[in-house]
Parts: sequence; structure tokens; C-alpha cells
Amino acid sequence: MALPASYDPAPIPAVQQIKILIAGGFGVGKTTFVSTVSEIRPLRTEERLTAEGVGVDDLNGIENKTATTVAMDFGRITLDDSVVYLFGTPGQERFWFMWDDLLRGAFGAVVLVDTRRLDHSFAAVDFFEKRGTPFVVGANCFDGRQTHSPDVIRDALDLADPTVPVLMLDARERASARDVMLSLMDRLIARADAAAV
Amino acid sequence: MTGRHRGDLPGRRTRPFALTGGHVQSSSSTRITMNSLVAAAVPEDAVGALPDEWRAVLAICHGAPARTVIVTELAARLHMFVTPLTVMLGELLGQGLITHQPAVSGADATNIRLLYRVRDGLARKL
Repeated sequence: MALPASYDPAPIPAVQQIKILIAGGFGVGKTTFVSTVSEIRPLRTEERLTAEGVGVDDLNGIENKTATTVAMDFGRITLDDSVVYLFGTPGQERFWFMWDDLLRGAFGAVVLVDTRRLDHSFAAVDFFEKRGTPFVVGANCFDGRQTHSPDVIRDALDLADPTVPVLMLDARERASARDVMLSLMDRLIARADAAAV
Repeated sequence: MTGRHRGDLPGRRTRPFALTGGHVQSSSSTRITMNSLVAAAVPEDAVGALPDEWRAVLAICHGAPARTVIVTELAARLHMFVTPLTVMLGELLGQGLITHQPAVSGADATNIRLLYRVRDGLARKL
């Protein structure tokens, strides 16, 4: 059975992929953000992670492994010659270290914060600062109001780099979410510029 | 997925790796991860008796832009955990049913022309 003549077996041109992480603690609006900018309804990707159990809870001394199901939100934006992939990280940052591939290859990150619960996003900020992953902060305005200024939020987050952009955001609003994405791209461009000099 | 062997692909030429039953784990360069892009390597109607899960992979690829899908999206659409899916995709790869484009390295993050194009694209599209 030969392939039909109409089928072009030539290699498909390589798709340029740009992976962006959408991070932050539980309930800060990660899923909403992905949903607002993605061209497809956000999907939920699951992985089963195993780690050596650390407790000695077994009288037989048999090695104990625990398995946990973790999930991430997935969305994408297809551009002319590239595709932006949005990976919404699991809420519990402790799983990030177990899920290496989730973070690998990311160009940068959007860290969403809820100003009523800033501490929920400390771990994400800390994580990206330590890894040197470029990021911007989006302060999600729940109920459409934001009583804190970006500077106050920047201080409260104790950002190591004072030039990290902090933007006010309504994750439900496309224009608002777009501004955060463009701010991250500007950050990446500035960084690439500095590296090229 | 029992009973699968080379004979399930009538007319396809025997490939050396088909003799291994599609196992390609020995080659680290072909490692498929959640960041890999996969594309269908055969027309949708040219596949004969394949396991349903394999056909589902090919159908999703054919329905995607540039016939290419990232593994993370495939896992979500197929309701499969990532790791078992990557093992299964290794078998499809070994049978020549899909092609595979490894994930980019972080090095591309400093490709300034690419970054400008992406910024412009996002500004237009969003």
C-alpha cells in the first residue's frame, strides 16, 4: 500500500516554540489568565509523580514510595511562525522540583499575586529569582478593584531585582492580560539585548 | 494494546527498529518529553489496524496547525498521564507513524529577533 500521491511526506517545517509559565499560589487566577489569552479552551494536563517516601512508617522496612497526581493548565497562542505555549504551574510549588520537565525550556514566567494573600506567591517569586528565570508580576484585581499600588506590592514581595515589572491586572480582561504578556516579552528582549552587548 | 506487531502495518516496509517492537529507549536523543512536538508522518486514511490510542494520536496531529502538537496538549486531550504517553509515543515513533521535534533549549530565549517577532505577534493577536 503506497502512500497517496497527494500526501506530502516532506518534513514539516520546525515549529518555533515559546514556553511561558503562569505561576503563583492557589486561587490567584492562573486558570483564568490562561483562559483569557489562550486560543483554545484551557486544557488540564496531569502527571503522576513518585518520590521516595521519607517517613519510616513501615514495620517491615520496605522502601516506601508515594505517588501524587499533579495537574497544570495548558493553553496556546499560534503566531505566524511560532507558537506560544502557556503552562500554568500546579499550586503547590513543592511539586515543581519533582516535575523538572514542566519548568525546563521556559523563556520566562508570569507570577500572579493576590494582594490579599501575597504570601501565597512568595515561593514562586523566590523560585524564579534563584533559577534566574525572567519574570513579571501581575497583581490580580479581584472584584475589579486594587487598593495597593505597584510600588507597595513590589516592597511587600521584597523583589531582589527592583526593575522587575509589577502590573495591575484583571485576569478576566484580554487587554489587561495582553499587557502583562507584552511586559514579559519586553523584559526578555531587554535581557537578550544586554547579553548581546 | 495486545497483539500488536509488525504485521499490523500491512504494506509498510520493515524497518530495523520495528524488530525491537518499537522500543527506542536506548537512544537518548529521541527522548520524548512533555515539551516535545510530534507530527503525524502518515496520512490519516493510510493507517490500517492500529490500537485506538495510536489512531487518536494521529487524528489529533492531523487536526492541528502544521499537523504538529506538543505532548502536553496530547496528554490532556487523551486524558493520559504524561509519562505513559511519552512511552507510547516512543512506539509510534519507532513505527514511523510520527515524527518528533525535541524541545527547544533555553538558548532560544536570547534570540532577540525571535523575541521581537513574538512580541509583535502577541500585540496583534491578543
